Amino acid sequence: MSLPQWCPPHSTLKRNPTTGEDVYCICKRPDYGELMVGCDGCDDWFHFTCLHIPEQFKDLVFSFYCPYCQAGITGKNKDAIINGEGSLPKTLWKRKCRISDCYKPCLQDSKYCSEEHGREFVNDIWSRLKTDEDRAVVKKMVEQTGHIDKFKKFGQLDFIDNNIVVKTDDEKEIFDQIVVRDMTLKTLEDDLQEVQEISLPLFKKKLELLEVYLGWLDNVYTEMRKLDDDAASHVECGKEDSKGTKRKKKKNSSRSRARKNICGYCSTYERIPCSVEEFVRDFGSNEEATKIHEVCTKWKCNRHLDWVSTNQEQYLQQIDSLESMQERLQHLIQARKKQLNIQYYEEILRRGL
Amino acid sequence: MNILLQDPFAVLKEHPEKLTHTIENPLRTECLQFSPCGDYLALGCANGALVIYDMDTFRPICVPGNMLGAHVRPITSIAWSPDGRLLLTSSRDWSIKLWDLSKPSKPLKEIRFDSPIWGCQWLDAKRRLCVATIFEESDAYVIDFSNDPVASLLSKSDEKQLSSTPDHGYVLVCTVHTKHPNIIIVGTSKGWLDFYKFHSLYQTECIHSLKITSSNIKHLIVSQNGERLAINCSDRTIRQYEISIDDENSAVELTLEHKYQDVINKLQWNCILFSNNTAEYLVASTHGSSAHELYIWETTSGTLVRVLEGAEEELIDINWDFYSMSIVSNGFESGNVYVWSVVIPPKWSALAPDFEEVEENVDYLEKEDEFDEVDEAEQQQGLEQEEEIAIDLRTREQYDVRGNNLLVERFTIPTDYTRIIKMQSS
Repeated sequence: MSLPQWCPPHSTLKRNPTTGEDVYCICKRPDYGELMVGCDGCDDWFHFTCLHIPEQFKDLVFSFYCPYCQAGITGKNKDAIINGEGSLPKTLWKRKCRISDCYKPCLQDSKYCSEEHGREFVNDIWSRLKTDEDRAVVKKMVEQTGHIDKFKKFGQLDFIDNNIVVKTDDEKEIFDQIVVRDMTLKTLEDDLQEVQEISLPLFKKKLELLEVYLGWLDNVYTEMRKLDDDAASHVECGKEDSKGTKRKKKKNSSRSRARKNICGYCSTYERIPCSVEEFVRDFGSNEEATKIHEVCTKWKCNRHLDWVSTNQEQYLQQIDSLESMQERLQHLIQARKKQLNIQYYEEILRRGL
Repeated sequence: MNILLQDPFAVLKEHPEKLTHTIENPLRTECLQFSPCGDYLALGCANGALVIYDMDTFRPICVPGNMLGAHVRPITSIAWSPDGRLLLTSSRDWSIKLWDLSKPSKPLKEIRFDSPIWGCQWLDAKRRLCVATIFEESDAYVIDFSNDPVASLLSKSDEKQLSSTPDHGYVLVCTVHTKHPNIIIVGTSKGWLDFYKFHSLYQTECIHSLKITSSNIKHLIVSQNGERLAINCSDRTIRQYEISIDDENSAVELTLEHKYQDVINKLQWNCILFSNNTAEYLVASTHGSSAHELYIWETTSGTLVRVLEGAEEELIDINWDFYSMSIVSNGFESGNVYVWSVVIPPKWSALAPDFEEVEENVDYLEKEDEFDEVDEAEQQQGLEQEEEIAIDLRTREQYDVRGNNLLVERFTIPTDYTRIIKMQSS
């Protein structure tokens, strides 16, 4: 930012060297009693006339910064500004009364400096109505609303987005013709209903059943690992009793640890095949079989490799797609309803109802 | 420019020569397939996406499944229906999906199996029948998509044979004979070749079995006229057979014609493909990071005629568009698609038949009668005779210069204007 054209370069002079008097402002002259304003940045004082500010604005100053502070030459945080931090200060003004020749600030939550000026402004509007017919219209507007909140809503367009309230038979006929029989809106609403009530719950249910089955499978794995540990400890006890060698113990435990989980894929995982104990018992007695209760029990199954994440990703992708479709349909329905509302009101106006 | 006025020896080249385009696909192409007349190219990607490129602009114009129902694992095979409207994709996510390209936002039909799919082919597109091979299955499947998808095994029906038949291993590839569409050929993991005769969904008959090698059969292709069969095996050899089937479709006869192999490097082959009609050429891509070319052999003599260069990575899948004479292949590392096609150099002598290009200056010999006056009456009579010849300007040619049928109905993928407008407005 740069200095205005009428502003001389900055000087740090505070005292006239000849006369010894204090000097102020951009003109560096002593105080002779003219109207001045204090800067919030550098604490210097400045004449209204030197800054080209009309004197009637004196009550409207909210926070004042001199041209040097606004340009970054002086001020409290000019070092921060040089480093790139902070921002240059600006002069702020209070809000002016709506009466054109009044320069007092507005009251809180008001457009006027006083109640008298507010009444004066409205009376001026009223006096500018030329005919009795115009005055009757304004009087009717004020009386019909009854309350200032309703009066404030005159002319706003919220009604287009709200649902239509039908009153007369003619309006109902137009409403049916334009809105109720619209095929595009009906198609969109049918699609949305199908997504929300059929497709999305279906895939969420499938994912839920898969999670239930996986929980059951975890329990099976835990139970089988427990049985393996028991068997291993029994073998170790036997070894100790027979005073076996240390090497055999180590080999046995390492072999037990190397065993992985069975594949666990079941094409009918929507229902739990049997209880955990029953399955583990059946597996113990049929360890060579590749399927028990329709569950794949291979130790290294290439066929069903990665089946858990494949199924999960499929369901999650379908759910994501359906949720995106649902959101898109909702946007389309909202836009279509707005369109139809506009058509309805245009038809009402055209028929003069 | 009218292509027939070009040099006919350049126009009638029977295989591409130069790498002309590279389609960069950040989704990594796994397999590719031209539409029947070469207007579109479908790419199956590593993340399960299916992207269709327009071959005039080389830009993607359609992503089936962009709203719902896309694959979530790499796509293993793509098959177009003969009219170009339906698309069949199989994937490692255990599903086969049928797409209608007039409404591509979600699949038309879908069927799931218990293991990844090796590949699928159309058996009868009008009746929505296809044949598929599944991972670690001993028999191929026939799938009927006309109503709710139904799959049935393509099994050997003879119970007596089952006890004495040796183990054929798992099915890996399958294809349908081009001239006898009810003959299905299946290749297995132990080198067996089985011919099945398809009667209905639940009635098939194994009419011929042959063990041709001890290793995997990786590819199985039949020429367009149905007389040649090529098999790519894991033993680094491509075998070419002459195949003849009698009129009652009950007997199959195979005669080994040629074996193709790299005698120096002993390369394994990634993919093989025949050229059109009588399959005059066979093209193959090589396995291994040190080989980056496509090999083209002449099938009648078995000699190598050309090596297509230009790609700087191993090439996987191959497809050949016979209408525009382009070969496409996808790279292994980058997933890009490379396009080789015929480049016709401009020849100004083709614009005027009298002109003749010469290498050196030739002295012009003036003819004896060059400036003789011609009888005007004879000249006028000659002009009148020429004008009386009727020229047919309206009848379209059925075949182009290479014998491709131009009157086949082509399906055009519709442009989604509503979607374009919404994208622009939002």
